[in-house]
Amino acid sequence: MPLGFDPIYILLIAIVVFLASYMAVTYLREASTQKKEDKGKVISLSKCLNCGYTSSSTYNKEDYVGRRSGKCPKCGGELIITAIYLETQTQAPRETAS
Amino acid sequence: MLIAILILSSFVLNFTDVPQRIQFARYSSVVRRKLMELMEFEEEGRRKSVKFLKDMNFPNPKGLIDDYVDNFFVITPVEKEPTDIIKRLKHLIRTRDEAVKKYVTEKVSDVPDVSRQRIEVLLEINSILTYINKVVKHYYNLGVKFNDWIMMMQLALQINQIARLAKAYKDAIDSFGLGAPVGDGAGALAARMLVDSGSNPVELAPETVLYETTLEGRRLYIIKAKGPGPTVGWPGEALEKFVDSRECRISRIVTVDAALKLESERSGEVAYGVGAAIGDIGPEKIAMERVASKCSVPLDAVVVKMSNEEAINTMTKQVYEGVVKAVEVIKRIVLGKTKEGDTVVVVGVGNTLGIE
Repeated sequence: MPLGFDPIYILLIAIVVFLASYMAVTYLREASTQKKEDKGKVISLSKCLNCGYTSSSTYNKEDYVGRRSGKCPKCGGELIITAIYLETQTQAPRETAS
Repeated sequence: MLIAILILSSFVLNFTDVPQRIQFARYSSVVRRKLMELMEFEEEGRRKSVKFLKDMNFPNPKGLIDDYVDNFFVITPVEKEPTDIIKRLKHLIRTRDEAVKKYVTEKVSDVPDVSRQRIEVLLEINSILTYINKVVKHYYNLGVKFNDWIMMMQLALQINQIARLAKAYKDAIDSFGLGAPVGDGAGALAARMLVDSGSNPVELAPETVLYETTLEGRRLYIIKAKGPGPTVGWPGEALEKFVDSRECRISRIVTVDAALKLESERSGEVAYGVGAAIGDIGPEKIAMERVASKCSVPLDAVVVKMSNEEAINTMTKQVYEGVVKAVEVIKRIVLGKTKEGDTVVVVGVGNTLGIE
């Protein structure tokens, strides 16, 4: 070889570069698709049986749907827990069949 | 030189087991890594459960879990002779349930029902995590033992889904410890939302209650599991008893439950159709179908869709919004398909944790 390049070395270097870039791309793709865990916050929704006033508060361990949670600040009626759910910051993607 | 290497590598690739052995090494390393993850899930689940039981002043929580895991299995009845198979299956399920209940109450006396039900669920989840781990280990060990690269490849391709399921169960320990409704409670919550605040429950079957209410001139009877403990009750048996007590004077039965969504579907989607909406292995579902067909009462099904993970973890806002939609669908069915003065039964199926 006039320039001193052995084709075997060129082939080996090409293979090494290809494998390294393949591994890097695979790793980066995997890392980017992994969702960050969002624990969110559990909410208790209360509704007044008298005037329909609704309020939400952070869930506590004594809460359950159907529990009387206090007095309505508007009319003094009874507040009852109507729902408990987990609210997260990230919304799930709207998947559609294509 | 290059040609010699190409010929040699071609020979190695085509006429030896070397590529398979390399693949085997790769796949087994993937499975091994995931197995470590599964073992961590199992240990973490065990740790969390022990802490939860300790907080409840439970004596020797570790022993309670260790003695439960691997035991209390059910051998399904003989299927070759199908006569009274449902009766036999129901008997076996009841026997097992009673045995589990007795196991917990024997270990700690005077435990309230809600706490006992929570402990039973925790034990069950730990048992599932151990089982998943054991099955994966079994196939991994078999693959290694017999150099079965096809088995190892299948396992490596499925292990991510298995790990996802195991993680959902591990997280479910927190959810059941927390006491807030889970996704599977969608049916129970929908049923509860139809009940007036003044209506008092009557226990119809073990851990299953009946509420009475009205909707624009229709008399509505709501059947659901007795909350707020984590139980599914016996909705089929309760429905059967109630319809028999009314001597079939029922205009319509509407069942509502959580359903597993397909990957292309959104969580909280609501669908309706015909049949018994219940994910039961047999006895409760067939009881509903039998009583509906015996009395010629139309049987409607309303489902709220969600993933497996959502079903066993704290109810998400999307699922809750689905429940609100499901209630509207039930009302539409009742108002559109019955007339004033009719009697309708709504059966809310699912785990009633956090729902009275």
